[in-house]
Amino acid sequence: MLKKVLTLVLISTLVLGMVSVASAQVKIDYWHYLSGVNAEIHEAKVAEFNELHPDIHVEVLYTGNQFATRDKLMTSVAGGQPPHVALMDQFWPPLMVSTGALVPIREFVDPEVYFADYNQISLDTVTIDGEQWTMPFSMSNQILFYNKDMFREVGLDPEKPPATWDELVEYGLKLTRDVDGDGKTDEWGINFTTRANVGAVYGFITFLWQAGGQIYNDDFTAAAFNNEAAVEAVNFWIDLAHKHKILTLSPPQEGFEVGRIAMQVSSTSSIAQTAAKVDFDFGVAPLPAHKEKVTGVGGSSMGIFRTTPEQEAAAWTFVEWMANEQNNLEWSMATGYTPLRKSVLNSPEYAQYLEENPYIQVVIEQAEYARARPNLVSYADVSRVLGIAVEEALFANIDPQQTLDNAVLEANGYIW
Amino acid sequence: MVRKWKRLGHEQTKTALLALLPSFVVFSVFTIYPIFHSLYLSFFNVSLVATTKRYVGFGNYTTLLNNPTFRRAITNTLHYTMGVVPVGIFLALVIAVLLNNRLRFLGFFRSAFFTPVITSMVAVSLVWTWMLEPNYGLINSLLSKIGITGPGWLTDPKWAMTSVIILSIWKNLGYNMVIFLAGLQDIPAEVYESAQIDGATSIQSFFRITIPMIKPTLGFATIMSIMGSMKVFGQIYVMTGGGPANSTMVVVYYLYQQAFEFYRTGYASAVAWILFAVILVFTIIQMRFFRTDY
Repeated sequence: MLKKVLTLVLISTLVLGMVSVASAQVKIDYWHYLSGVNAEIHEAKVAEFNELHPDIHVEVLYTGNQFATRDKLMTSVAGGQPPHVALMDQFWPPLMVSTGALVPIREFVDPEVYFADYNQISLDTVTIDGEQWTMPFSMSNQILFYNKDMFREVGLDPEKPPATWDELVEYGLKLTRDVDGDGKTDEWGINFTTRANVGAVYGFITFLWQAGGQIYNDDFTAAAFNNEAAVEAVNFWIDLAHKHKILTLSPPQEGFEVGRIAMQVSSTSSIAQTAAKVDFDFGVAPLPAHKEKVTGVGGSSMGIFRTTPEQEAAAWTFVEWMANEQNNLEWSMATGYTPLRKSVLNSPEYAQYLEENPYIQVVIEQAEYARARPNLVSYADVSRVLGIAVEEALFANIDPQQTLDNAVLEANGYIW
Repeated sequence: MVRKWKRLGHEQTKTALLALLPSFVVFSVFTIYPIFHSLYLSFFNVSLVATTKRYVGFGNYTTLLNNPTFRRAITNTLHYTMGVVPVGIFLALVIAVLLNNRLRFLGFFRSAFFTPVITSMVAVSLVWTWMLEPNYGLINSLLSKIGITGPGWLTDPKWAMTSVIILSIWKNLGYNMVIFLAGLQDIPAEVYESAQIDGATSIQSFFRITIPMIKPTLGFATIMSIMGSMKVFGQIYVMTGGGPANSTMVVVYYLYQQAFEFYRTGYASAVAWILFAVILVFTIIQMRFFRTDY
């Protein structure tokens, strides 16, 4: 009896195997780290791709948040078993390229021609040593969210968000209040990520640039974040927290969404999610500027890993489809991400979307002076060192010069 | 020696070895080999993802010992151990002695103290992170009821390590308690009876009978706790990520960061071997200290 069952199982496996060979469907594993509404939209798109392409099946897998996905991806590359395609944060590709795990775009199309429609800044985020290795997928920049109701409560004009660091402090002082009169502050003026292990450095680098500083020297041979400008940027953070006390280092969870934080440095990628969550009058403004007017660019791209030519080709079909004009338009309108293609940015559909969602206009204006962080193998280490130094100066409220000097020494150990 | 080899030839021994073989193979491949491979890697400059490696001799070790963050990690780990072990052992012993009596709901109490031990560290850390949340967290809300403004438990560098220590003591209390209970129940009742007849007070019998009789158990619990504390990772990973300002950076978290965030496999292996050496020295000292001569 058992023998019979086993034979049956064996035969049916063989038959099924032959069927799938017959249809020659290529199976592609795709890893991503999106969550919430963005993940739903994204995975629905993948399902749509599968329906339209019967010869390819993309198996989509959420591999945890960015940090978890990065670890898994690196481990899979080290073990020689990467997925066929992965969504990657801007700073993963340089390391992957150095290991030979990625297939450059030029193996599929002529990048010059293919990327002619792309914004320069979105190309900057995927260009490593002059070559595009991954497909730009989403681009965001840093932005100021603010609560117009809270502005009105303290007598500030809700249509005039702060434009400079000084105004940020001035507004913040008015917005930081002890509402219930128990002697403790329960509404704060401004908030942004201050903990190094959850990516505070991304925000800090923008403040560094605004103060006129740099991460690296001009030819990228050494770290340069210990000059006067860098010290000024760290001191500004320290003043916000310890002198003006308008930034709390223990922010309430989702403080902005529940109306206890008046202004929040955030990303354009969460405009749609935040707008859906809050029940107050929600405002979006460019980041306040200092010596320079600049904002940081974040984003993700899709990388194709070295597998078999057949799978690589199928992977390209998938990646190209996900980033095509129609899908880039839909993705941008559904999430608040900046369109990557000029044709999308100038399309009538997008113009209408901007009209209906005026705060997205800010994003587009900001994109003009947005700056991409350098795409270097050492960036991950250098930025990590910088992030910890800033955290140390901020939380321990100590003079930043010494801390930054030490951090530059340590960072230089990673640059060669 | 000859006799031993002969015995290996016995039919029963052969069968035993054969039965052990599968698990021994798995153990060798996944435990023994990686241990020695990490020693080998610790002498190289090698990245998790790179294809080349460069021999650097003791370079990784000297770099490490001069690295301020690593030194901070060492002192933090010792700070954590000194915070967790004495208080943890003392509380566990007190609770074990109390629960060794015939109490009502004895089973309930014993399971209540043991539950945290078997709960996942990640789950526990998340729950504690919420409880320690400075603005709406349970602990600060309760403190404010009695007029105390609680600190930013996990966000203030002065408090973060203390918070992790408190959680860890609570989490491991049950484990040591069970060990102590077993030790206490091994003490024959007659010893206490005769002490009572001789007029010993209960405090005297605790220090003169209980403590000496459970010395081996005490030794075991202390050694295990110290080893466990030196290897602390889960709660740091979930609750603080080594911060703020490196105030909770411990050796294993440093190792993890070097290996899986910076992909410096060789360097991280050197961290592991230094940690191994430190734990080995501590354990040898303690085994001397707790040695009993019966």
